[in-house]
Amino acid sequence: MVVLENLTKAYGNFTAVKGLNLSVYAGEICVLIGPSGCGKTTTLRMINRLVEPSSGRILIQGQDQRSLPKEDLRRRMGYVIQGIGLFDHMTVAQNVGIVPRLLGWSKEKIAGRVDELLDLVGLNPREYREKYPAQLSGGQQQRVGVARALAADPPILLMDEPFGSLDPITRAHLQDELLRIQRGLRKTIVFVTHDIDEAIKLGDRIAVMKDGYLVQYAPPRELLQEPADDFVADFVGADRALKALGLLHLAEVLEASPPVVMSDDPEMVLQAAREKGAAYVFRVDGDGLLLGCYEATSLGRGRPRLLSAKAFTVLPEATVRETLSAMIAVGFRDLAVVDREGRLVGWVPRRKVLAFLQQAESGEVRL
Amino acid sequence: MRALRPFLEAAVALGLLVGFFTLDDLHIHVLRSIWPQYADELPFEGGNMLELGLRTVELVLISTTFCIAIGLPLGILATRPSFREEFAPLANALANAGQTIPSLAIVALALPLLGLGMIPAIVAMVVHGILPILRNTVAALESVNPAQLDAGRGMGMTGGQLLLLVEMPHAFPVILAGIRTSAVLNVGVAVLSGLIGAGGLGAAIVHGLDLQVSPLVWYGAVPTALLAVTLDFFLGRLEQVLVPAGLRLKGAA
Repeated sequence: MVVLENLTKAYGNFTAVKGLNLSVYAGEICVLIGPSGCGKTTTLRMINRLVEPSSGRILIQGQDQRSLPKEDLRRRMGYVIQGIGLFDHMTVAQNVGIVPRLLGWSKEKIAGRVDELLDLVGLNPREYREKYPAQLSGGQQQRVGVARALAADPPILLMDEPFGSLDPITRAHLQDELLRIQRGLRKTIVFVTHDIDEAIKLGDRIAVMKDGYLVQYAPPRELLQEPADDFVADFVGADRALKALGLLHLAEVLEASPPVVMSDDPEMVLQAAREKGAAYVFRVDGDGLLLGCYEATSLGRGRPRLLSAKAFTVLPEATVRETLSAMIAVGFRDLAVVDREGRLVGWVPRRKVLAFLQQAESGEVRL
Repeated sequence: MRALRPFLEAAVALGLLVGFFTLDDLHIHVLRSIWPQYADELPFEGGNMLELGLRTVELVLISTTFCIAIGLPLGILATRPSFREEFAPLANALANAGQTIPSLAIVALALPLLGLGMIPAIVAMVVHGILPILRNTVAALESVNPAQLDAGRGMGMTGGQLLLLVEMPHAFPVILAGIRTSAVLNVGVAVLSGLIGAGGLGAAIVHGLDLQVSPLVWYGAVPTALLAVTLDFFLGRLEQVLVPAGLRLKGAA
């Protein structure tokens, strides 16, 4: 746990951080967010003493961080920065192994750790160990940056807009990877960003800062439901209800047994549709793989036509927001929930979504 | 094979140079046949071409070593955080002054102050040759990407570790270019030092000019020019070999 107590940083007449009190809980991702100049980066840099506070103190696991020499303190925290923080005269392996090297580990131990970490961040060690940063894409460089910060297994990780310079697709991918890694490692992470979507996606708690003050410190859902003031409400955006849907898992609107048939017998299709109150019936094969769907309302004589169901599917890990978006995109029809192997594992009937939205309207479900 | 290429090229250049210097009889024969009226002036009383050349190389090596030994630490010191503001401009001004004074004037000044011989010559060469090394060291260290310094500091490097592991590898190519400039410059001053009795190829040139004997001037000047060109080439190849691979890739990208 990292506790910031009454932390202030002044540069001459300008006060960047004003009496900040903040507790970062162990094993959580705490996101510092706010507009440029709000003091979020200064706050982060005070934690590893790249910036010395003017007053106040920082406790790390109950101990004043000034009781350790700066260098020792920093070696116990991973540090990831935006852009070219990698040493471009060193190979990937040398970059990742730098903190262990500073700590005096043996060569064999470092080599083993480097391979382990490259695996963890999704880079094949044999392929990437000896490459130089200039030979990597931006996303790969940032993965190496994360691996480097994790090298000496520090309990605390400081990340300063690590994905800021990446394209949206790579950024989303690396965010997912960070969450995956975090599920396994449970580090205490302080993450600076100015992207509210990134904050909502990654943060266990979000600290919104403005002009050096902490405006609100809350879990993402609370931030979206009860913004402390107009500034926070503006900052999280007018679409905060939709963003809140992004925090809800598909389970809220999922039904386990979809209307399915295993043949194109019109009778069977009609019966399945009636049973489930569905407009569409999904066709699967013997292994449960989704082959397509039939439109139950337009059944005529003869064999029904099998339609492609590709647009009507969502992944089991999707959020309510993604589900709703997919549903709107296909004209508000029932969706099939299909896993990565193509197996039909459930469905989202539109009546369920409508019911969910009604509950939200009446206050039974809070968005 | 590609990695060996700079070594091969340097070896060939060195071989050609040594070959040229050992063909003393041939050079004397050619010069005598062009200027038969000065046949008595050759061989040069100060020594054969190889001896003269070795003396010049000695002067250049000693003075360049001193230039590095003074200029490099001074440049590093001038860019340390605690000195940067006061010392970097001072070091630059000092070194600039050293180069603004014409080399001939430095050599001429060394004579009344330090007398004749190798030592005053070396002092003159060092005063003159520090500038490129000092200036390049300061410029190179100041141009290291701040993000990398931040990353290094943030992961717990001490000032010394930051210098050795991050700053120097990045600054290295530019510092080496400064050393190269300094060494080639020193060849020129070494020749001028013939005026104050430092010997070497400069002695033949100065003597030839004094007596207005053209073949003697040629006897000193041609190998001097060859020496400077070869030295420059040699150090250029060294640069290729010593620049860290990751930086070369970055330059190419």
